[in-house]
Amino acid sequence: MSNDAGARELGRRAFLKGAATGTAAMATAAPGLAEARARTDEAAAPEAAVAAPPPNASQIARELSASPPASLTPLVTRPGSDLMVEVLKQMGVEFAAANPGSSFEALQESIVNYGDKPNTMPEFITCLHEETAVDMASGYGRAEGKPMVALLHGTLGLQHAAMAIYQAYYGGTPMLIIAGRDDGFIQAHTADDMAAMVRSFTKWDAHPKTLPEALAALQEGYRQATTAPTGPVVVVLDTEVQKEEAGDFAVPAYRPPVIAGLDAAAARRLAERLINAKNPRINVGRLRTPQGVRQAVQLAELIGASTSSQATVGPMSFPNRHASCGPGAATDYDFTLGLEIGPADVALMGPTIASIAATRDKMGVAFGGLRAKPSPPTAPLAPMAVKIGETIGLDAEASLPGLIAAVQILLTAERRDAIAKRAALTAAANRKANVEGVRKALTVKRTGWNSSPVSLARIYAELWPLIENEDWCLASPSVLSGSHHRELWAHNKPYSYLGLPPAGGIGYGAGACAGAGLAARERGRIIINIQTDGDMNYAPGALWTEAHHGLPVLSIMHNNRAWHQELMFLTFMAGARGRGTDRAHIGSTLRNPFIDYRKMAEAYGVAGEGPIEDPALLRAAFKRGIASVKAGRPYLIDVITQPR
Amino acid sequence: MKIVIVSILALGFAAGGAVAAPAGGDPVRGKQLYYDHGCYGCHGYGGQTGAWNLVGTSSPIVNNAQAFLFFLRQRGGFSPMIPSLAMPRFSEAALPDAQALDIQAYIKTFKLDAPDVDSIPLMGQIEASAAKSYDPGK
Repeated sequence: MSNDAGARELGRRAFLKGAATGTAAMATAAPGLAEARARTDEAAAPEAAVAAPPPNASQIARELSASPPASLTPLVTRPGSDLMVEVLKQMGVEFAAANPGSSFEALQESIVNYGDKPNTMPEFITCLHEETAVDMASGYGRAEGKPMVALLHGTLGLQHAAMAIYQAYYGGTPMLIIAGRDDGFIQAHTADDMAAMVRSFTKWDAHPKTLPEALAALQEGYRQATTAPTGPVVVVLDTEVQKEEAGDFAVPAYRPPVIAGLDAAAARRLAERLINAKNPRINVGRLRTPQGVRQAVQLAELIGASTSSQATVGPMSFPNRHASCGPGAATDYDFTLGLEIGPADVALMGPTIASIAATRDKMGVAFGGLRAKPSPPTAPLAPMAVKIGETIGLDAEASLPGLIAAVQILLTAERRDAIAKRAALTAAANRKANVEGVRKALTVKRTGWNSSPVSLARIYAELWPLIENEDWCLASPSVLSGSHHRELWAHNKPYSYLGLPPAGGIGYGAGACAGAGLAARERGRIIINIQTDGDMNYAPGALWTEAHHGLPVLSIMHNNRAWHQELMFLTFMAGARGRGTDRAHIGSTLRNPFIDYRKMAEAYGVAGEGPIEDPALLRAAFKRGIASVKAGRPYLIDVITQPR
Repeated sequence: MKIVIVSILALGFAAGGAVAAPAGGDPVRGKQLYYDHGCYGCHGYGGQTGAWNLVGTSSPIVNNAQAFLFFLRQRGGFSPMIPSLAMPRFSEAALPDAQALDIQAYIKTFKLDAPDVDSIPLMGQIEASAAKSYDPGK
């Protein structure tokens, strides 16, 4: 902190002490009088440092916007927060989602007012809860493979957001979290080491003390968030740094991260094995960005390999209806390359969040699935052992350009002919397998086709022909609604399906869909949200954010009027103990009264309809919903469904 | 799994030869009990969705009163250490025989609703879609 800044801080603290002495009088005074008295107290305040007091009436009044702050320092002409916005623009940060908080008021003011195009890159996105802000960053980050900002207010905002940050950490979701810190204001909202509260489940954090350090920290944070293992990072920004005069300080140029991949020799060796294989295969896991997915497609097409994809379980994987994707004409693969996944003869596997968990978890919390000791064998989501011949601990996406170049050098005309013939056979076999797979799935999913309440398979089936030719993204977790899209829909985009809540936490879906909606709004895409009722009720204010910002999110309620998995668990438990299974609904259902989600949507400004119990009505309702979201208006359809 | 269950049932009948043939239940009462005891949770409101289809099966568990009662009473007397979505036990204390048979009577009223795949145009559209290969160049 500069000397000038230090002097300003001292003056501010003196003001706060003076304000504290006037508390009793202010508590009963009219607002105008209170303001005048606060200014009088300021003038009379001694120039001395004070111990940290609890919030007084003046501070709380300001926090609640009941009175304007007194002006204590000369007006700055080039505040540090303007430079912070410059840095965010340089890095291409499109959005900053926040529930407003005084500790980042300077940065918020810069976002909405600074620059030739204020409130653009980033655009300030208003959220009704910090958990929603971070879940939105998750949905956006998983759809685009790059961070947006979540702005959080001090200790309170970080704690409100903690669960969402935790899920982003498990999911390796890139995001830049900025926590405002105002040490001279309400003491319960500040801390010496703010980021410590979430350090054990964030990838990286910094608390810069000067403006140059703050700008550098934002840049390094972005690099850290986007470098494998990708994940959430935190930069704590003091309010003094946001508000200080930057003078003629120049914004440093942003340098993108340099991510290590295969060197040329290793790339050539691997290319030779691919080229020389008679029946090569490439198994594709989750890459970091859409560019990585495009390169994986390029490699598969060059080699004429059959491929496998994780696109039906999460983002950034191989298009699953690409001609190469499927078992191929024969399954006697003589060389299998894994890109962030096995099984494989050789797998490129970049570092994961689990690999850094021990270094970040200084408190020894030892989060399950990330700790050193193996998960209990009963854990259903424990990683399964996968056979990999040789693991190369390098990021697959960073390795692909070199590998593609090496393959291209090795391709001869003769090899190209053989590859084209193999690719044609592979395409025909995969097409046949796709059709057979869908028919087999339909013969199962047709059961209960006309059921009322509506079968979940019918919802997914009715949707597909209506969205097939749209640019769509299924942003909601689907496992609780049966994941019927996996067999029935084509997942050809890096964002086709954004996957489960990474830590299995309910309450993530509504916010994640709104965040995916941010990415969609700018790109002519629509968001499909099969929204479970339990999840919706954690932070339904996400609906207002969708309406306020015109996000193209079609929410279709999977309304089974329960936290249904818990209901089934409890029924089993009661049964095993030989006691009343007829009381398992207590605490696990949403009955008495039922919740009216159409009215909920209406209250938040989202158009909608329902409840629908007759499946014959779905198609027309879905058409109306799709038309609405294509026009930039979110829409909610309440569907009363079968439980599962 | 089915084989194991049928075997258990066969053993149960052999050991419990003294079990009297229960009377049939009341499907009207059974409908409320099916809901109250959470049967719908795994089997759907019509026995056709979710984990285990109750319709269109020749399983004795659904069709035979003694087999149904025997099946409901299994899996008890232990403390589950991890949450389970498996079929719960329904003890006689929690669900007396008469009420269980009411539920069975209600289950027997379920009708299979599974139209032929070729009879639904929507399903044909989904199948046709699966035949299209994705070309990222387009």
